[in-house]
Amino acid sequence: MTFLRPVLAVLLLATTAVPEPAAAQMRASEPALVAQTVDGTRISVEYSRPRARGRDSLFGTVVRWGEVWTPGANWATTLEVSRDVVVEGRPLPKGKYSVWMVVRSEGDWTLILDPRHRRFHMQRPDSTAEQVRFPVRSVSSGFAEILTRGFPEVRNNGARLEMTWGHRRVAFDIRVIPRYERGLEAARATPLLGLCSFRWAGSPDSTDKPMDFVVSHEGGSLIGRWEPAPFPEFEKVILLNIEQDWFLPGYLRDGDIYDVEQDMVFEFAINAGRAESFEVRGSDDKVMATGTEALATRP
Amino acid sequence: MNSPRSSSRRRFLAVSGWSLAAALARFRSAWALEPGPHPEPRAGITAAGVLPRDRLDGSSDVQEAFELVREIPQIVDGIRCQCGCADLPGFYSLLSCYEGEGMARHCHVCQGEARLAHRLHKAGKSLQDIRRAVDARYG
Repeated sequence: MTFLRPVLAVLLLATTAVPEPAAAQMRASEPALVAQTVDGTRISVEYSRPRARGRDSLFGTVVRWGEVWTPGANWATTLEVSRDVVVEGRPLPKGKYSVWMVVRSEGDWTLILDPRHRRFHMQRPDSTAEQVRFPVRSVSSGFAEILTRGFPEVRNNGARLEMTWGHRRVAFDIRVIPRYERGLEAARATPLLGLCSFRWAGSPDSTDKPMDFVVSHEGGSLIGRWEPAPFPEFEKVILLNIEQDWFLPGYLRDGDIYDVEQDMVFEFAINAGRAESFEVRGSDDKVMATGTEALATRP
Repeated sequence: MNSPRSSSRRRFLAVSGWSLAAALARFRSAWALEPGPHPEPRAGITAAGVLPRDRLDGSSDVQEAFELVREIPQIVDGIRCQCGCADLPGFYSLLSCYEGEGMARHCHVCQGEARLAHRLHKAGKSLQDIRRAVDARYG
């Protein structure tokens, strides 16, 4: 009987083993995650990806017209936003939502975001005041075998979230709330305005002549300009207020911020209501550059 | 007794591990949701666990950062490290970054937060002010 012991041991192990999580098994509609961060707001979609599997006509057959359908499979597709956003002009508080669509043969479809996010695909939600509903345009597209979500367009203030499956494509816009205020009221900006002498610290170039740095208030924003510019991107930066008299430089293109330098903080030193100098500090909090002298001589 | 070779290999693995952890932590922070709350400084906390100078082989900048933390452990213990390492097991506060394996040896953010905390503390700012400044800079 001793030869049976290994067999029994294997059987015992097999019956007591902890089952693998569902995500570790092969699924007809495999789970997926797609995420995009825009200006500090994380937008993520979790969904299962059904395949056409030879079914050329999906909408109107597999997904019936007029049906409330979660664009995925198994558990309802979810959309999660880490901060408040605006979807197609409608405010959406930060949180996690199940995603549903009312599909129609003609005209716009309706997209539904429901805060009851953990729902099976058969648990179609009834209409509630907490839902955010808006029309979305369904357009013809090249055939997509597997349902695919993505962010084909990412802007400095938002992104476009797209779904394609079969011959259909649906997309909607998500606008984020800017992390930093562009504007600075005149009363707070005025003490900081003027011309100063800007010098990099601790680099081989620090023996170079200091540059002029001009702080001005333009269009309601605090603007910094190097003369001459040390790099093309540095010709003009918007100074974004993060704390009291601390500012991060934002790079501008066509008047829009396209990048904020997180590792370069301008700290103004105010004395008797005027800025008398500033330091620029890096992520290690060491001084990278200084601005001194005559800060208030020229607006 | 360890051979210099095995010691060197362990050292390489330790440094690589912490460097990777720091890099992953930084990567994670880019994806993270809002940073968590700052911890409350533990009663009677001291700098006894901060790595001594003879265990620091980094630059003078690194040694300076550890010295600053040694001066204000009760402040540093009330700050959540924003580089992402706060989610690693066994970490309580920014002070933890300067203890044990001392990941602050390899992380500019850990060092920067300590310098900022020390600078603002010397300027008479409260712990609340310092936390707000850390969040503004690194959150």
